[in-house]
Amino acid sequence: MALTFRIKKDPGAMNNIVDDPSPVVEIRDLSVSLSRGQQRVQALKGINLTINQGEIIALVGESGSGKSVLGMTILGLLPPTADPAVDGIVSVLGSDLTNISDRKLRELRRYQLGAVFQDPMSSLNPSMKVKGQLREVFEPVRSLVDALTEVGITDPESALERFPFELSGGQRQRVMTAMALLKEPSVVVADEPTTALDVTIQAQILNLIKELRTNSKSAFLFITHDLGVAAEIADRIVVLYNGKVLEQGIASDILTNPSHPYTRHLTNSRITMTQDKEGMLSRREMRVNQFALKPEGCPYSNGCEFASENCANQFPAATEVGPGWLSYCHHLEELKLVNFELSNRKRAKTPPSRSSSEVVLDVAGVEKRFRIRSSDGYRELQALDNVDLKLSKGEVIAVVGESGSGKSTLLRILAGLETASSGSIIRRSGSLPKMVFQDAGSSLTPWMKVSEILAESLLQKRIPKVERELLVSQVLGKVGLSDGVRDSKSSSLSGGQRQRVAIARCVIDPPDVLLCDEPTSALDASLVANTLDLLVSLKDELQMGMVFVTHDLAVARYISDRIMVMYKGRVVESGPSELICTHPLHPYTKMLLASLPGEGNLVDAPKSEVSQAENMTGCPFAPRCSSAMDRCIEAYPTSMRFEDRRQVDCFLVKGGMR
Amino acid sequence: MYVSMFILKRIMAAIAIIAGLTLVLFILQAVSKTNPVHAMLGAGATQSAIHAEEVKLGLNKPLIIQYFRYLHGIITGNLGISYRTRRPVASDLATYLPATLELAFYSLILAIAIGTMLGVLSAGRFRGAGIIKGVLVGGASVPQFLLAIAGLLFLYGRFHLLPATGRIGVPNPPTGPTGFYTIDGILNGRLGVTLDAFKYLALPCLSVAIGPAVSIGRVLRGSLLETMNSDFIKTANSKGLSRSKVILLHGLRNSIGPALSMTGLQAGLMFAGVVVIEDVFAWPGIGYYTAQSIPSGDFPAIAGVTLILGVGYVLINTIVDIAQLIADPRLRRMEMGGRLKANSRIKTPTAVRL
Repeated sequence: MALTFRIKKDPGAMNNIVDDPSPVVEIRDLSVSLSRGQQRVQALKGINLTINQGEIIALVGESGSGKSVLGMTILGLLPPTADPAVDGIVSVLGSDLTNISDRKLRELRRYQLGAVFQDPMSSLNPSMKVKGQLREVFEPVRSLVDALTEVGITDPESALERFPFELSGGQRQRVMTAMALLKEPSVVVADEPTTALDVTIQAQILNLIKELRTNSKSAFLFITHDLGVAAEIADRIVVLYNGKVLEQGIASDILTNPSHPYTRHLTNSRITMTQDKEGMLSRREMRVNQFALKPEGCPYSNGCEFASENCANQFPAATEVGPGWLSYCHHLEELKLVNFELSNRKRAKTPPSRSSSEVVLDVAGVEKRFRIRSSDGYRELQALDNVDLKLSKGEVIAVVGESGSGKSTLLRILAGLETASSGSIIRRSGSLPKMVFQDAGSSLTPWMKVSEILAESLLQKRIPKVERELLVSQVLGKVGLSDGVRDSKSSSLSGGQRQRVAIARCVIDPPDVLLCDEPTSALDASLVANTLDLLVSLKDELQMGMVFVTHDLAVARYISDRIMVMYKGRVVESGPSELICTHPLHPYTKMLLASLPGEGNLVDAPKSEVSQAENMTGCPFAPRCSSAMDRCIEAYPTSMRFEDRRQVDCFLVKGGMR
Repeated sequence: MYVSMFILKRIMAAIAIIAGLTLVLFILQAVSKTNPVHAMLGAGATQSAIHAEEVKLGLNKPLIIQYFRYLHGIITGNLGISYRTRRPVASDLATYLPATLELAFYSLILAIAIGTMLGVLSAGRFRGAGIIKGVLVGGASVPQFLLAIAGLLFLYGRFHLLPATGRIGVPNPPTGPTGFYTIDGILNGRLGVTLDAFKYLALPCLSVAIGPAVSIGRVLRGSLLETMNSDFIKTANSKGLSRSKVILLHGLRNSIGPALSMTGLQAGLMFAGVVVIEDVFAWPGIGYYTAQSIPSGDFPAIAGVTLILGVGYVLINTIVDIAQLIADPRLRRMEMGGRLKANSRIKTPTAVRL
């Protein structure tokens, strides 16, 4: 059995479940329908769920699964514009929310419920100081300064006097958390509270919530799409798909031994640090519409490899797999016999790893400075500082770093969208690289047909129309889309299809270099797998070099031959991917690795957020570095070079060549 | 400190705009064929008298010199002599301006009050929000003078509730110090004057204010609807705040920017409306003065009025800019120079949603 998650048993966490069986939220037969546009959508169907005092439940599901709708239902905050129809019982501390006056609901929220939302920037009132927003909380159990200290804000007095935009992303989410916990509510609904944050900040916030739950009675409903995050934090996990609960139970049980085919699919499509680099990520083609799915059938039967006709007709009853562990599947018995081992398909063609030494992109000493206005006139911001990059044909370089590391600036310079302040960029052929953007959906013109969007990139080449049409068909086949979508408008395509069209647009006239700007960070796990597989196979087929920007080291390790770790405009470490991930040398790389959720080592991540001094002459990472010395503040270390073109910028690293 | 720097910059810009306005006015005056000397001395004046007068007025000097004389005149309060009244334009304006200012001032306050009310009520989910929406659409389509005449017909003609013309009915109204009867009444201890002045103000103010109020209301409604969809409103609701607190404390302040811009724009347009309305209600203000000056080709008077209105327009928009800065701390920060991240960029809804 492949253990995809390394879970540290936290004895305190387990006690919480056993000692306090008193339920604070009881949901029975909950169905919610909402109107979206002209249609009514059944967002939740027949949900049964109990949240006990003090426990953390992770509600896991892909986008569209209804997980946020469930969270908002518990808060009584479904948007009135969607005209929600709620059926069933949602009992919060004995009051049924489906049958309650507006005033009572408000009182319940006032004293018993708390909420943390995804984006702390937009979730805090931009024109109100932190103090004012915290003061609005009814019946606080502690002083505001204590509350902020508790969530790890180092200078609470000054933080109170600030506006949200004057805080860092991590600080903002800490303020949000403090605000939700200030009245010590019975239930806190946290809707993807770490998704918009950098991995290191995410690790801090997850640790913070784990810490806080020990001194508070509050139960958490933690909504996330990331099983790794769920593995870090949850006592119990509830898996939601298309408005139906498919499996629920103790977190460690579900994560190590998922019983439901969908949960298995989720755990398998997650990219971990032990992923086989030569294997493909998506295990099989989705089987589409095998049986006509009836409304009362299992919603997953369309994509399930074990689905039978019975699945499409009737939703299965709960099967108790273990204590407190319920699974909803007709085929659990047969599934027990199936080997759950990841039977990864090998890639069709193994890449000629660094065999061809033909350099397609040679970047040396690139710097980028922006002039920004500051309190005393203008000031320079060094976005990139002495960046080197050498990309061979068919090679993938992953650029990893947090927001503000300069990775996107670098990509824009490589794409020719921005010019470097100094340094040289040599492209083998004169043509510019092509770029796959983060939000593929919005990078396509909504009113244009797919064929028009694709053919547009050929217009400059004066290719005859017949040939253009042929190329469009070919490229659609290459990216795994049927020829039928060529006349669809991009706005009518699904997220996955749009992503494929965006990629097709880049490769219809294959470039030497393909640039990818976090193309998977906004996608669900299974889509990420499909997209990465597609990019790898295209790269092999067309022999493109690829620069792949990501904040996720697991993705970087899987897709790339080499990794460049960037921090505040500098490449602090670079080298072969596998080596960087197994033997990181720079403290920042180590910190990034320790911040990956679901790898079992999150506790080692740093807890407090140090204020980051700007305009330093020394190493920019020094203020956050646990092993920083005096000389780190005074000067930036010279690069140490090792074999395999490995380079590290740190005084601690010895033995290489300067 | 940063705010005061910003204000200083805005004032400099305002002065530059007004200087530009004087230049335009001067050029218009120069290219117009009306010779002020002819107008002053009458048709029967001798050639030598005209010449002497031209020398006296400096009209024989190069245009550039004439412009600086004109500028100097403006700064020292000399706007020329009105051909029609034969009095200095500056003292004419001093007579008529307070009446207009009082009308404009109360109209603006009324427009802001009604606009805010319309915007908030139509964006909220109240019973009758649909009717207010109708008012917002209908109100914008009704011309000002039609409203004024309808008001006259009903409130004066039929019910005799309000007076039709003039500024005051009380004999011997106070003459100072502000020139606003409503305020001077209080300052001089004659509350009757204040009440009477409000009675006379009611109809003209309403006629002037409805149009701008509807525009302000529509913009406010649009931005308020957008704001009420944002995440921090969810946060405010999750705290269990009352609905009015959520709208007023969290919604309104973050939606006020576009409405403020609209107010500035409308205040400028309002001056144009005042000219018509003052004529309808025989309100002794500069609109009334202008309406009489135009037919007689009284260029100094028209130029003086234009200058005053221009200064008023620039002044109001400067105030609006400063108010926006105070309402939005992010804007304040941006003026200080912080580079805003893409996701924190201020959203200014431009679409008016109905």
